[in-house]
Amino acid sequence: MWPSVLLSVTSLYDALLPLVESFVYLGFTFTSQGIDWKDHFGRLGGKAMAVTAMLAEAGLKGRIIGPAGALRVFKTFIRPILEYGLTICPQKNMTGVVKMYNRAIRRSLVVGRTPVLMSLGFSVLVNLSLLVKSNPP
Amino acid sequence: MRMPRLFKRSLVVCLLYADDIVLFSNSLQTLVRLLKICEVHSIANRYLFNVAKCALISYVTI
Repeated sequence: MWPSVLLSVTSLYDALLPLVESFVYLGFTFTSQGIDWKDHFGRLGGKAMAVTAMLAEAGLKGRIIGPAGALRVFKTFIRPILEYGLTICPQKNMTGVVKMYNRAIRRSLVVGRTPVLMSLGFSVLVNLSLLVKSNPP
Repeated sequence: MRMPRLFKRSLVVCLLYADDIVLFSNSLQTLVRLLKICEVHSIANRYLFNVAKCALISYVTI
């Protein structure tokens, strides 16, 4: 019953506060059902892609700095973005993460003519499978 | 410090991290009172909350 009267009485400095369906707190999207993991990973993917594009513009591409340098760049600048909040993410919500990880790896690290194999190799190097397995179901 | 009787039924009343604040309440009266406390505190300490960034979310089915 009280959501219907909520709008008319909850105010701050005499300004009425809007009723929303979701909000972002500490980088997590919350809805009435809890954390919206799909939206969360969508936002993280967007951020990671933006950083990847910025680094590519600065010349930090796999093709230019080589696999070892590209891996270091990935681990330093992109991986922390992708892994934000991952420790509390249930395993069932992590399928999107693996796809996002692979996309970021392909875009930022791919060096030679075998992008799939190369990205698979990098997935092993960043211990992605270990990360997924360590989370609660 | 003694907790006001109004808040005793809520396990967590608020979460504060830097300038990110979330208020929780089981009832409308508590929420209104919490907002009033925030308002009074901000005025007393000469800062203002950005009302444009404040919103309500209901965990009750509408």
